[in-house]
Amino acid sequence: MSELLQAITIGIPQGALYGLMGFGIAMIFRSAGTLNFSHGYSAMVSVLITLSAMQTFIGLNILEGRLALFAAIPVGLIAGAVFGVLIDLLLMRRVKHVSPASMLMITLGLLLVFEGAANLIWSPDYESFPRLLPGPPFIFEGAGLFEGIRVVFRRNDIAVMLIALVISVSMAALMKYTKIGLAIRARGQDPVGAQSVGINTNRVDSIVWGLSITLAVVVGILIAPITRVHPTMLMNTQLLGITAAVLGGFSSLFGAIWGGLMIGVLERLIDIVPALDGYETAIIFFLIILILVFKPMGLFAGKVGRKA
Amino acid sequence: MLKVSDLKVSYGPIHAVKGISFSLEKGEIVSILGANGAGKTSTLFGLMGIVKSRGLVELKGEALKRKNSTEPTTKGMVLCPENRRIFPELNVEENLRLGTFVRGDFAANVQSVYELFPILRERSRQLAGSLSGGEQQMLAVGRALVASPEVLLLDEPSLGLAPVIVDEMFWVLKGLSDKMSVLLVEQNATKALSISDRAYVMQNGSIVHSGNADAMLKDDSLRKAYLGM
Repeated sequence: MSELLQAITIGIPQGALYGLMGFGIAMIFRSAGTLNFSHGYSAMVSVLITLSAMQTFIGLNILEGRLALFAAIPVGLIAGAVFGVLIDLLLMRRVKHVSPASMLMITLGLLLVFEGAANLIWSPDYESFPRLLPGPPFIFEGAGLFEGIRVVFRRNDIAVMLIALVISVSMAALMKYTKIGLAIRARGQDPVGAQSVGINTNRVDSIVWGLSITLAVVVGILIAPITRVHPTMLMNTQLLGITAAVLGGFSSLFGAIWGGLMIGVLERLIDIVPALDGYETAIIFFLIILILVFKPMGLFAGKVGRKA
Repeated sequence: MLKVSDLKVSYGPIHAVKGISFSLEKGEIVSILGANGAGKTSTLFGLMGIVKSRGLVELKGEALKRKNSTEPTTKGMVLCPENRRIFPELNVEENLRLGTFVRGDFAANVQSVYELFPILRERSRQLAGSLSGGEQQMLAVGRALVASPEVLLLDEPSLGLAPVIVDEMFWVLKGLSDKMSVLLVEQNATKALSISDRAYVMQNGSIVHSGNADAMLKDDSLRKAYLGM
């Protein structure tokens, strides 16, 4: 019982990160029309920039310790937004009306460029990254009816969950109630319709790219204390993020977040069985194939299919 | 109201619109007729800046740059595109709200749209993708009208609709000329001519005939040559 609860409490924050990654990937897929294979890699470079900024602040004695971390985070987020907008302006805008295949190849190429840049400018070494909320974990000891149940809450996990929750709620509000959110949804549902009401779809695409990669940087910064910082630090998260988006059905952005949570918890549940240790990813993908066979539109596909 | 001179639209080596000129006066309904592939939709996309075009487009005497659709829409030329192009996963009201993205007072104009198409009021909370074809077309027209256009560009509003709905739609369209000028693109030439003041006939990217709508309706040889009726 303790093991089960523990798996869930560790799986939820982990899954929330997959979900946020998937949300950004789904947003680019729906609006800008391509699967961004470089998603996690552009975020990884932004995390490296965050780390370098933090080290610079400390090295120059401008700020120290946690203050340096909190000052460096905006630098990384801005770097992510700039990467996103530049990818759209310099690369995607030229090919998007011409060839979906070219867009896909560009994102694959960017994956290699970002990884190469990280190796060249920084190094392939693993560097440690500070937690947002350090300190001893909270330990819950069951009493009475729950005698013998013991669950550990890592402090940083609580920060991760709170941040993921705040971001999800604000994204939902953005999409539902703001003009730009409606424009993003409209552009994804019908580009010609969006242009017919005067939406500048090119500008929407730039915003979507910038916003999505900024979200991925948040994921990178939150996951970095666990994965540590290195060129392939977000490879697994990106893969599971794409999977979360597929599971949620690309038609529903928030499906990606539910998909991510499911994957995160599932991963930890599989971990409990010693015989399955090391096969987590294989089992998750097997289950996902099964789900897609029976629910090809994803678990949370919208009620209405697209009409021509 | 709208004056177009030497408009050209090309897709790579393909010249879809080969330098056409036409005009639309205040309060007029003017049709552009022609078969599939004549360049009618490309003409509208060129006017709106949805595709790149060359030539001069003047709206109320002012030349439009047409870098994107935001500029023409803001200045009062609004497109109701072919195939409805509504947002299927947004509800009817959200679709209409988006109609006022750059222009028009939603709260004031939505009521007059609901009066024109009462069914949209009933369905205001329903997802647009779940509407019938006719209702979706009404929504598409309504979405253009909430922007209070001065020039309304209508692309094939009768496409795929049942005859009784087509009649209703054209009756509504005829009434619009009190408030705006309408450029109507249609394959259904008889219907279009019946509510138009003037018409242009397009073939292979050029205007091959123009004239008074009533005269064109009565001109048998013209109808046989270009309009297939």
